[in-house]
Order: sequence, then C-alpha cells, then structure tokens
Amino acid sequence: MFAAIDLGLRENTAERIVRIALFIGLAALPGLWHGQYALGLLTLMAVYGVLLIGLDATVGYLGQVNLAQAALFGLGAYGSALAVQAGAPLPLALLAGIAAAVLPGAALAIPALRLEGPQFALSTLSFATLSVIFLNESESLTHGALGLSIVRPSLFTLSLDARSFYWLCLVVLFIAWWASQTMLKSRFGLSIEALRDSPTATDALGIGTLRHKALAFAWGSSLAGLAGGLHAMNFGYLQPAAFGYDLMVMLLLGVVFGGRRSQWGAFAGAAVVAMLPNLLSNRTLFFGLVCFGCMLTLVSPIRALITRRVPSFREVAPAGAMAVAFGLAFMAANLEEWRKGIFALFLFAAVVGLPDGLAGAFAITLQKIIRFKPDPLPPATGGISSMEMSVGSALIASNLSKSFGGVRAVDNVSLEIGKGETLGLIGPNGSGKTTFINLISGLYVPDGGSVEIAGKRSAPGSLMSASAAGGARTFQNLQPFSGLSALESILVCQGDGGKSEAMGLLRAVGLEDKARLRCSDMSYGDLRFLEIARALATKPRLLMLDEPAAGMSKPDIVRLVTLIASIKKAGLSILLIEHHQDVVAELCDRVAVMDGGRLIALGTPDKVRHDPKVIEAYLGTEDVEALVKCEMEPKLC
Amino acid sequence: MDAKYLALVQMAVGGGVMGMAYALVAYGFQLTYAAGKAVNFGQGELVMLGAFAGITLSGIGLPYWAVVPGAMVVGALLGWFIERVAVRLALKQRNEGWILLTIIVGLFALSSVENIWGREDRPFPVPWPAEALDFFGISFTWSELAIVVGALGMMTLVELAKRYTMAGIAVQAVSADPDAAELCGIRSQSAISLSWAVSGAAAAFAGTVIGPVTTVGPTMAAALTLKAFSVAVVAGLDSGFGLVIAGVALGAAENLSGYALGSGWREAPGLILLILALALRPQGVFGKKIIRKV
Amino acid sequence: MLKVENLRAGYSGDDAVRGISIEVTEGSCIALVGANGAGKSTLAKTLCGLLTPRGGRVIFDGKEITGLSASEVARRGLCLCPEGRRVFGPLTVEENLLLGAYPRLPSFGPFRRAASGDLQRIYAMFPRLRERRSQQAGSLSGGEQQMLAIGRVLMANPRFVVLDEPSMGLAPLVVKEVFEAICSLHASGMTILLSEQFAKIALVVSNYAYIIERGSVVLEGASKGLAENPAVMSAYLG
Repeated sequence: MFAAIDLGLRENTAERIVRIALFIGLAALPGLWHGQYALGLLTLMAVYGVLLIGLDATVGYLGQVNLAQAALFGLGAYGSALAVQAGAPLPLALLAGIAAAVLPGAALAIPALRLEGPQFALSTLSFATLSVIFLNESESLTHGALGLSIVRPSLFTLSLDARSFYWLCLVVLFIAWWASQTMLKSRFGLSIEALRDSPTATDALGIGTLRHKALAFAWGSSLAGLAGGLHAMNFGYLQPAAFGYDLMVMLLLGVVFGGRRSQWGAFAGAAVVAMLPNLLSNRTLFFGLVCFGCMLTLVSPIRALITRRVPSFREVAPAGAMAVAFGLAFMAANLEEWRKGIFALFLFAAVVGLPDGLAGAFAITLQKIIRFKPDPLPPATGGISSMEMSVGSALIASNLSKSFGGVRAVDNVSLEIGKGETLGLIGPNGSGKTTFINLISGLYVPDGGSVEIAGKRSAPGSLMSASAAGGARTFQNLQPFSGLSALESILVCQGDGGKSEAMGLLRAVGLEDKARLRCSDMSYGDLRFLEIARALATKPRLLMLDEPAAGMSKPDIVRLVTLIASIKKAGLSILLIEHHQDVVAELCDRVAVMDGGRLIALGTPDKVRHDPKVIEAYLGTEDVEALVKCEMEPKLC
Repeated sequence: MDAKYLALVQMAVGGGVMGMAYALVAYGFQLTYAAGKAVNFGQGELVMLGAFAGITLSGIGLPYWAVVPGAMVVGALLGWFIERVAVRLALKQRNEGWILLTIIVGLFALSSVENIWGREDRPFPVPWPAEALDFFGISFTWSELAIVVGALGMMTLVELAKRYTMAGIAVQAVSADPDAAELCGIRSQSAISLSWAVSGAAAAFAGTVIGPVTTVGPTMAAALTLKAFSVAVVAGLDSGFGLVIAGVALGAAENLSGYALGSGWREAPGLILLILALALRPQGVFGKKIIRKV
Repeated sequence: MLKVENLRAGYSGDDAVRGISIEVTEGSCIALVGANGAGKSTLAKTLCGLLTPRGGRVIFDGKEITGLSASEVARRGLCLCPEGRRVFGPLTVEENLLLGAYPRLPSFGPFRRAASGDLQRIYAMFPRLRERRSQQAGSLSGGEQQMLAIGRVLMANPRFVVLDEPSMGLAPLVVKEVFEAICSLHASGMTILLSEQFAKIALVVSNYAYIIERGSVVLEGASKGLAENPAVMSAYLG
C-alpha cells in the first residue's frame, strides 16, 4: 500500500526509547493530574503491571494456563504485611512477600509442572483455593475475614506519601520489566519458549523440560509476591476474599487481552484491569469505547462481504460480541453492575479477533509502517564436528521389544552401530522403524531389552538420559520451535558455544541467510534441515535421522545427501531411516531391514538389495503370489 | 461412642450425596472431553443457569415434571452454543484458547445472572416434603435422595444411550478416531455438537437437583466448577463410572474434614489429595495411560 | 465412474501428489503401485475427502466431489478402507461393522434389526469376525483388524471401494487371505481402487495399474503387461 518508513533504528533500540519515554511520562503524570483517586489508580496499575509480567512468564512464555497467580499475590501481600507488623523495614518486608509467594509456589511446582493443559490449570486452581482457605482460617495470623491492617513503612528514613510510593512502584515495575525482558531473551528464556512449542523435542535434544518450567514458574511467583508486598503497603488493609477466583479471572484475561509473551502486553493488560471499573462509571467514555470497538470489529466482515465471500466465524464473532456490548450500553441501568459481563464481551472479541492481544496487533501494525534495522549477525565459524568416543560402538541395542495392544511393533531387535558408521534402517510401511528409533531415543519405555549409546546405558523411556549419553534425533513429523528463529533454535540446543558457532552450523546446512527467520515462517524443507542442525548442535555421538527426506523436493534431496555425506565425513555415527532407496544406497555402510517388527536382514546395501527375504518384504512373497495367482486367476478372466 | 460413630457416618453420607452431584457435573466434562478433547471451564455457570431456568419456569406456573426437562432443554442449547462460539475455532487451530474462551463465556453468564436474577440465594421449589427420612438412624431428605437417584439415573441413561443407540456408538467412534469416523459417513462435527448439548443438558439437570439442597445463587458456579473438575480429573477424563467413586470420596472427605478441622478447612484435604493424585497419576486414578506420538 | 484430473495435494510440505490423473471404469479393479512414500496414500486420502486438494478435480459418477468432506464423499458411495486399518479400538467388532452402515441406520431406533442382513453377509465372508463379534476391536490381531476394516467398508454397500495398503504389516499367510477377499469382491462386481506396495500381488489381482513415483504417474497400463516390465521393479529397489 505505502512504503514503510525507515528510521535506521534497530527494533530493540526503538523499543527501549519508547519504554523509557513511557516511564518518564508515567512519573510525570501525578504532577499534571492532581487528585488522590487518580494516583491510587496509577499505583494500582503499576502493581498489577508487576503481577501480570510475572503471570505472563507461565501463561505466555510457558504456554500453560496458570490460575494460581492471584493467590500467590495474596500470599505475598500477607507475607509483607506480617513482616511490616513485626517491624521489618520496607525492603525486608518486600523480600518477605517474595518468600511468602515463592516457597508455597515451589511446593506446588514440584507436582504441578509434570502436568499439562487442563490438568495443570486444575492443580493451580486447587492451590489457589487452598491458599485462600489458609488465609481465611489462620485467624491467629491473618485475622481471617476480618482483615489485616498495616501502616505503610518508611523507606529507610524517608516517609512515603502516596505520590512517592507511586514512584517507588514505578521503579519496581521498571526493574521487573527490564529483568523479565533480559531473562526471557536469554538462552534460558528461549529454552522456555522451545519447550512450549515441543516438549518432546526439548527433552530429546537435552535442553530439559522440568528445570526450565520450574524456574519460569518460580520467577512468575516471585513477581507475584513482590507485587503483593507493594499492594499491601498501598492499601494498608487486606482481606482474603480479595485474592479469589474473581481476581484470578481478571488477571488471566488481562494478560490475554494485552498480549501474551510481551511485557508491553502485560502492562497494557494491567492498565485495562486497573482502569476498567472507572471506565464503566463514565457512560460517555464507555459509549465512545464501544462505538470504537464496533467499528474496529466491523472492518473484517465488511471486507469479506465486499469481496463477495461469506465471512468466517472468526470475522463475525468479535462484531457480534461488540454488538451485545452496544446493546448493554443502551439498556443497562447500571453499567458497573455489568462490569464482568462487559469485560467478558471485550475479551471475547479480543481473544477471537486479536489472538496476539493488543500489544501483538500493535506490533504487527507498527512493523508494517516502520522498517527497522535488523540486528547484526556474527560471522559463521566452525561447522560439523564430531565428539571423541572412547568405545567402539555408537549404539548397542539388545533384544528390544515393544507392543501396542495386540500388535508387536518391535519384536526382539538387536542392532549395533560402529564408530563412524552410517547404518540405514529400511522396511515397508508399518514395519516398526519409527517405533525402534522411539525406543532408542527414550520416547517409549521398551517392554524388554536395553539400549546403550556411546558406551552409556540410558535409562529406559528417558529422552534426557539418551540425549545425555550422546544421542540426538530428528523427527519424522517435524517438531519445530515455532516461536523461535532459526538461529535461536540452534542456540537453545547448544550446551556451550556462541552465536558464531551456531551460525557455522546454519551455514553447514545451508540456512545461513535464513538465520533470522521464525520457524513458523520457514518452508517445510528448510525445517527438515534445521532439525538436523539442531541435533548437531547438541554435539552428539549418535545422530538418528527419522525419514529426513520425507516430503522434500528433488533438489532438496540432493542437498540432503551432500549434507549427510559431510556429517559422515566428520566422523559421526548415523542411524538413518529412509524410504528413498537411492539415498540409502549412496550413504550407508550397512543396511538393516525390518519387516513386521523384526530385523530380517543386515549387510551392505548391495547384499541386502539382492537378499530374497528383502525382495519378498517389499514386493510380496513369491508363495503368496503363487497361491493367489492359481486360486484367483480363473475368476478374474 | 455409638452416637458419635453414627454422627460421623451421617456426615460422610451427607457429603457423599453432594459428591454424587459433583460426579454428575463431572460427567458433563467427560462427555465433551471424549468427543473433542475439550472441557467447559464454565460448567458451573451452566449448572447455575440450569437452576435459575428451573426457578423461572416454576415461577410461571409450570409443574415440576415439566420444569426439569425445560431446564435441560435450556442447558442443551447453551452447551451447543458454547461449543459453537468458544471451542470450535480454538480446537481447529490446535491451541488452548478454548480454556480462556470457556472461562470468558462463563464470566458473561455469571454477570448476566447477577443482573437478571440478582445476587441473593434463592430456594428451588420442589413438590416433595421437606422432612427427613430415616434409614437405620441415618437421616436423609427427599431432596438428597433426588440427587442420588437423579445423578445415577442420568449417567446410566446417557451411558445406555451411548451403547445402545447408533448415535451414541457414532459419538464413541468419533472420540476414538475422528478421521475413520468421517470415512464411515459420520459427520464428526455433529457428533461433537451433540456431546456438548448432552453435557449442557446434564449440567442443567444437575442444577435442578442440587438447587433444592444448596439453594441457588451466583456464588455456586465457581465452587462447582472446581469440584466437578477435580472429580473428573482425579478419576480420569475417560474413566466412566469411576467418577462416582471419586465424587463420593471427595464429598465425604469434605464433610469429615470439616468436622475434624473446622468448617473453613473442609475443602483443604480434598484439594491436597487432588494435587497429589494428579502428580502421581496425571491420567487419573481410573484413566488409561496416554501414548506420546511423534 | 471415477475421474481424477491433475490432482495436487500434500501435508505441510511440498506436494506429495503432483498432478495425478487417473480414470476408473465401473466394475474394474485398478491398482496404484509404488514404493512407500511415493504418494499413494496421499492420493487415496484426497480422493475420499480426508485431505483438501491443492488443485485439480475429482469427479465421481459425473458429479464433482472435489473438496467435499469425507463423510459426504462416503455417503455418495465412495468409501476408503484406510491405511493402517484404523478400526475403532475401544468398540466391539460388531459395533465397528455397524458403524460402517451408519448413514443408513436409524440414529435412535432399532438399528441392529435394520442392519442384520448386512451383518450376516459380512460374517459369511469373514467367519472369524463372527466368532469375535463382541470382542474389542483393539485386541484383534493385525490380520483380523484388516478383515474388520474391509468388512466395515462393505457394510456401507459402497459402489466404489478404495483400499489403502491392505497388506501393511501383515504376515504372508494373512496377506493371502486378505487378497482372496479382495478378489472375491472384485468378482462380485465391485469397483476397486487398490493402493499397494507389494507390486507383484497388486498386479495379479488388478486389471489395470498406475505406477507412481514421487507423486506422479510414471507408467500405466494393463496389469499383465506391467508385471513383466523390468521398469516396474526399478521403481522399487532404486
């Protein structure tokens, strides 16, 4: 439509400038806008900001619906308040708040983090309910439902009035924001995003799922505790009921509304949650907002109608929700009574219409208008290297078996791969090849048998253990880290080594010029190469490739063969499952053939190709053919 | 000694009855989870709406035997509606947006109830007498009996329908393998919609049997969602009648711990057990193990 | 009866089916032959509506069915017996069979009576299924599951059956049984499209065959002639 403006700035720099401007503006606001009430709202917004940045660590980055944040906030608030009552100075009281949230949070994290989806949501919800019960019932400590009153402590010798306390909250918000951003952009943060997209792949590549989940959750909890401490000092009066389900829903929806995986989004969500009651008390303002929302949501269905297309549910539903809100604005006698309902309508429109939230939608629009200078990439160094191996065999699989229901998918298979050897594993569809790789790499627990990778016996059914021994695999059905760029995908898999080495690996697989591209925007063939680079980044001793050429175009297959040949030349041992016979014949030292879960042949490609049992497996048994022929032919003719 | 023992049994029985109600609501979770791998985080709100629909229907003079099916029709429509607006799109995109969207729809329902029917608790009118029955020293109200009979009856009815009607078998087929079901000419989407409608009807029915015991108000929703969901997940989202055992156990545990620790703590042991049960068996006590596929 | 014009389809990656055209006349048995990964199953799934085609047309009985959902295609009489059998594991054998006839049966009425004739027909064809009628389908052996999958398709009284890799993962003796069933089906006048990696058997039972390699038809002709053609072998072992 129109050319984007080029500011010659890096996106990070621009973001930092705008962020600092925002904080200066926020700090100056009390000077421009007098009134205790407004100041209270601004303080609340800053406190919620800290809280939601913490919540975003689990809901956004970890991708799990966490319903415990409000309760952790409450625990932090009570922890701080009790510390203040005991005479602790302000910094110590805030620390007490953090501790009061993190310790129970850790107790929850140990069982909960093994869970996913609805089960995780439920365990956090149970924890939240338990916490509120605890606050209500420990009357000797918290005065139960009667509530707890405290006097705001002074900061060292400085006594804090409402305005300076607001500034303190802003400083805390700034620090929490900066720290979260820094941490979540580091390798640690990238690992968290990677495990959200594919926990199987992060385990198989040795990044580890549990540790990262636990740390992300702990970080979120500590921010909840910190925010709780500020909240206690801000209000000076606490009641357990305030930290229940209602607040939780508001917070969760605030994060989603503002935009997940973004501190800006969390802040926007906090502003909405804090300001909402106010917005509704002013009918004109609310009216304006609803009209604006209606117009915004009507754009896409109208656009669909203009192109003579029936608008999809996704295009119509937000407008429907806004229409109901519009109706309410007219009919409802008291809008504040409808607070939750109106919030629900706006949220519904936002979740369906703007899956990336306000901040996400804004960022996408901005990137259309302004062109930023990309981050510089380090020069590529190194490439494919092999690891020293003391033993002679990269893999010893002995008597592996696995059944599913009545079907024996892998039946007593033993296989050994020598140092530097490339072994091809072939067989008809359903012969058990992928199940075999799943057993070796620790995805499945074998019914019987054992696996030894590079001389180390790996624990059955543990991806991490197989990876620690030196196994690395790719997946037949791609497991990309969709939220990460190609370079970041490599970085999270590296045990050590910097960006230059990661670039070196990308160069080796021919993706150097796509380093900045997000995996979700990469082509299928490129993702296949990226999976190989990812596996190589773990510096494996045994590389397991599960149908790397599946779905690839012909020129890509040629590229792939060259790549595998160079990996082989570097001295790595490879287990290659492949359908394309020419690929197998060209690359493999030995070929193993599976049929019906059993190993039926093993030898050089040439020998295997002429093995009658193999021909039988691929083309059908001669006897069966003969049987069928003599019985059926008369009928056919 | 004997009297104390009897009082404990009385308490456990009273709790177990509420547990049957939780199991009935949890059964609704199981139905939708089987069909489309999603559950309604606003199921408690559906129970509440069913109860209020019942109150309104009897307010306009309908007899009880018409009120219950009327409320169930309302529930079925709402269940269908929730699947359409909050679940279908998110499942198609394979993200967990449905958790949020069902919470959002529930929130709107809650707000509507607060504004239409008010925030106060109301009694649910029933045609039977209020006095208690006596079984060997343990007393039982007619309304409690209605919960037990209603919950078991409803679950049995739906289970029978699942097994002995073609529509039910088709729903099971969709839950086992949606693509293969399509190949048999079954419209998977219709089967999923049907499951949500039945789940909604079961929730509304639960409202009409719980209402007489607990009274009906906007606060009942959140607690019911949590408890029913606990029962469903602890038993396993594919556990069938395992729900009843988990539900009765949770209800009885609540009452007994309320007695032992004080009424404010009544929910705590159940919740701790819930977290532990989840940690030890994420697929549920009576659930089947899940195989990861790559 | 079935006409496929320049069909293109695939999953997330490149097209796995790259412009295939085939034609099937009523009463014939056509084989799709090729190594695994050649695109046979993708083609079969696209024909039957499980995958949305990226281009081209599918015409069945003179009416275009491109892009219809699998259930609609099945209701028109074009039924797929899918790769990997895909029986409903938790349901009984008999329920699996009944589901095959789903569109004809009353949703809430006495369905067993309505389907009893068809059930007897299938049980006569596969006596083993009668023995196991009340057993869970998931507990059957691979060969029995394949019989069940074929039986389920036949319950629909289809006018056209697509069999995708019916021999996959089965022992030779069982393969023989499966193919006997396929032959007797064909002899009874059913139109069949058979996608099969065991080329030799496929070429014995079919009248006409298409050899598929990397998503395209590389060779086609009467099955008898192809069976003696050395180029067919080379499509397999490279």
